[in-house]
Amino acid sequence: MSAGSATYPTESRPAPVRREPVIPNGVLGMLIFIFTEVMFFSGLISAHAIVKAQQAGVMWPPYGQPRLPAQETALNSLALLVSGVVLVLTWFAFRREQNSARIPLLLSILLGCIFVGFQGVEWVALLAEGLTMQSSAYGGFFYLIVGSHALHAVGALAALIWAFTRLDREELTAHQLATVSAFWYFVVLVWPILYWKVYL
Amino acid sequence: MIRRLGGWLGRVAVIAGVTALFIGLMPEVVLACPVCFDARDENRQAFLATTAFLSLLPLGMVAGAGLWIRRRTRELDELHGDASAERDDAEA
Repeated sequence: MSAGSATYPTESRPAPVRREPVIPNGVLGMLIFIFTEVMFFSGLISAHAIVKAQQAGVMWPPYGQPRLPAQETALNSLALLVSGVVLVLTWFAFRREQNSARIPLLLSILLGCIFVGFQGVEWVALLAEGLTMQSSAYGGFFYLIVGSHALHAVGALAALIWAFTRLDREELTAHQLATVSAFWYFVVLVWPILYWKVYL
Repeated sequence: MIRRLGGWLGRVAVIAGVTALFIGLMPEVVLACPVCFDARDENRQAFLATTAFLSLLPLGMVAGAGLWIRRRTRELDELHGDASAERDDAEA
């Protein structure tokens, strides 16, 4: 061997094992987004709580303003909650066999569409009865809080539909499903709090 | 000894002076907030509750995420530790 020449080990070594990430990138990004959205809704709820407290002793909802349809919305909320449960079942079905996740995912999307559709019908009725953004702080908070949630629900539904099209083409990965599911779980779990604070 | 005591007293005097300056500059009450000094109990309670809620919520979320990541890291460590032990056994 000549001086200065490098020597390299020639024996075979086991190939390095790629570790599974602690959190997939998509899920981490979604979690950070959800954290910011939790603070956004918390700010709205806090502002609503303070304005409502300022009206202590005064009629709330204000005189002349229509009452929110709490019972009908409770039924609609059930559709949203069931949609979340069905999405959990979708996850387990996907882990077992990808094709078996199609029906529960589609059912979850349909239940989500029912929720958003009914909310739209409710809005049209309330607008017809005179509850608008400008009619009172009550109306302003209602449309701001419930409208923000509806926007998130539509966005999450779009993500679920995207996941379904990928699943249909057998291109959906577990990380992608986990990411879009996290968004939908947020939409589902934040709703009971909004319902309690706004409708009841 | 006397010189050391003098230096210590000087430092205490400077700290006390700066603290007094800060206290002197602090306003007695912050009148800009429309709810902090509301006479009604409901309003004050709502303000305090929402302040506590908005202060603790981000801390709770970050702490929860940290604990979850720690637990997940340990699970993966155990999983990969077992896998590498099995691989070593197979190679032996």
